Amino acid sequence: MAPISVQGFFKASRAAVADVELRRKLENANTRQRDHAARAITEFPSYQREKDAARAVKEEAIGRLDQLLLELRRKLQARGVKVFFAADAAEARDYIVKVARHAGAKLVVKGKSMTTEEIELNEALEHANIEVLETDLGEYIVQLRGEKPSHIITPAIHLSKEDIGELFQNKLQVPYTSEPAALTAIARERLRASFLRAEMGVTGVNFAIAETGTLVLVENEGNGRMTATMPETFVAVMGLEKVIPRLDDLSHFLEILARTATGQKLTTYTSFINGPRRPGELDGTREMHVVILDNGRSRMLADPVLRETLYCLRCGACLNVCPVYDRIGGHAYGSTYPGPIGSILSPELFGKSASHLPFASTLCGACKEVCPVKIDIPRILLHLRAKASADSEGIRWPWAAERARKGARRFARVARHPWAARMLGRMAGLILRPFAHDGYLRRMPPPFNAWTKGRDFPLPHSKPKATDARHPPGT
Amino acid sequence: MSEFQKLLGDVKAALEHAAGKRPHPVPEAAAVVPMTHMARRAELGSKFVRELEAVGGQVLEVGSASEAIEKIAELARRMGARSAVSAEALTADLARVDAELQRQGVEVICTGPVAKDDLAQMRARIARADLGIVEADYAIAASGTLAAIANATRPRSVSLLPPTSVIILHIDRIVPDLATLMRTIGPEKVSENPLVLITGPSRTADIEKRIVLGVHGPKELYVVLIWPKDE
Repeated sequence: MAPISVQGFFKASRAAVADVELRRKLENANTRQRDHAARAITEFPSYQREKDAARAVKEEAIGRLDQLLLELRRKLQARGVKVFFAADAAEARDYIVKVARHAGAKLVVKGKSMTTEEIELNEALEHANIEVLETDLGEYIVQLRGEKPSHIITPAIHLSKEDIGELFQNKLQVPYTSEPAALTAIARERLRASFLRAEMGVTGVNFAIAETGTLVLVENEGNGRMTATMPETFVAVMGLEKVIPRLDDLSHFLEILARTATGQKLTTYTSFINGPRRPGELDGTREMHVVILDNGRSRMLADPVLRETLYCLRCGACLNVCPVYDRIGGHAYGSTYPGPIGSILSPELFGKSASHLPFASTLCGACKEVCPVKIDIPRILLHLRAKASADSEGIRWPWAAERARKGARRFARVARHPWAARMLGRMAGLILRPFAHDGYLRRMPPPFNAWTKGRDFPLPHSKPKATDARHPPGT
Repeated sequence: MSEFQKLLGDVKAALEHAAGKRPHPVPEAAAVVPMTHMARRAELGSKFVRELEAVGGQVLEVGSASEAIEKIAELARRMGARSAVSAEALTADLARVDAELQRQGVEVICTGPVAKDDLAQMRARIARADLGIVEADYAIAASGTLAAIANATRPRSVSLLPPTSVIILHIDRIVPDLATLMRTIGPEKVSENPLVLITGPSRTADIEKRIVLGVHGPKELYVVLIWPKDE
């Protein structure tokens, strides 16, 4: 999904911030998620060590990606898996639609996969008159609503159980209930029949082990296992960064992924998928395809700063701690990948239309702190901001930069004389005090309203404590 | 494979553009405190039980394989199970579980190699079974995880389709952690057979982050833990 324009983003985020109900739901879910993860991490003394090891493996893997992709392909092909390299979203879509047509698919069941959201696979299959059914509970819910996921691992985080109860009542013609267990049972019954009927299954991939030619899929519900084993044709879609060198490397990732994502030690199911079923076997698919997607990833690889973006495991931890995500939710970003990670992924994946997203951050650094593979997201955000500003095709606010420079120069002139700065501050504080509420100014006349349109302005102290930068206290 | 050549070319060019750093060495695991076999077994066993219970699994502890058979028959009776499906066990003594269930009037679906034409029918039968019985190859103490390696006589759907999953585990198959499990199974076995790690019953937290058990996989998970105490 290509992101919306910068104006669209402002509009959507203003609406989201004003949506009290959405804020309540996000705060509720994000707080739980953060608590679970924090507990799981504190209880696991090796967390730091595993994190370091995972980071080191990613550095190695991305550093010799060409060899690893070759090895992976060779191992998979030896077992009869068809491997397709897609340069962009269109190539991936076309290939998968072709496979579905060839399989005579009328119904395609899908496991949760952000990569297929990225390439807008559902739309392409539907366009080819093939029914697509999301089977992860959260994905099923947002699909019924005609929406996109608003969180990488909790797609329906923006909905309350009452919202979902009403949705099921309207779309599935069942009596209203807001009980999560009852709602889950309804979805189970509906989807069970589809798993056995579908001709084709599509899932994402969490890790691909080059050494053994194995795809690793982690999930909690069992829909991934169903999708990968029940239909006759199975297609796995992976970004090219998912490959890791050896089986031995895997445990480092699995030990951190579930803990940071959901606070579990391990997800309920971790499936190791090798290829189509062998003679005599009951499970597994007749045909198996692996689509390895570039779609801007090799450009990230070539950029020394952006490169570590490819280490991302899609755990969603950065969304859960982000003050911006916390206030506007996933949909306002307008991109497949919301939150901090989305803001550094989207510009290369979706191009110019996402170049404003790196600005949607306070640079507080919480995302970097929580990232299990230690991606320096704030640094990358700044890098992308610089890129967007320098790019003549991108966003440019030359007047804003000029004004900021002028303002800073004026301030510098005043600040050179501490007594003048103190005096001006005290005067401003006294003059403005009658207009302030709780120490903040909510509205100011132009041109200062440029500030107060978006945020309150703190009232200057009437007794400012100026310090001399040349002689900081304690020196 | 021109699309592949092109992509690989792009990747290579990208790598050359940003000359890679040397990877950091992977830190070694902490040393293990020396322990007697029985003490180690007790530690792994009790840790496994606690962790499995924490994720919503239930443990039925037995002293021997024949006791395990009795326990499974009793469970089927208690649940009022009408049909069960079992995968081939690793421990020969467990072959009698089918006979015992049949004696009780439970229809038992045996899974051997299946002919191509019978696949859909066989799956539908497994999907209707009340109980799926498999033996785990290994287990992880640290997370309460079971590992099942699949093949023609041990299909994956037995632990997936029936609403109640019974997994037999011998205590000596428990390893301390995931890294040890991966080393124990090894790359060769992983590249030959499908493998699934199971940590508790199927679950979701997609609705307001509330945990609900039994989404697409089993709602109930019983582990029949064979733990001989006399040695």
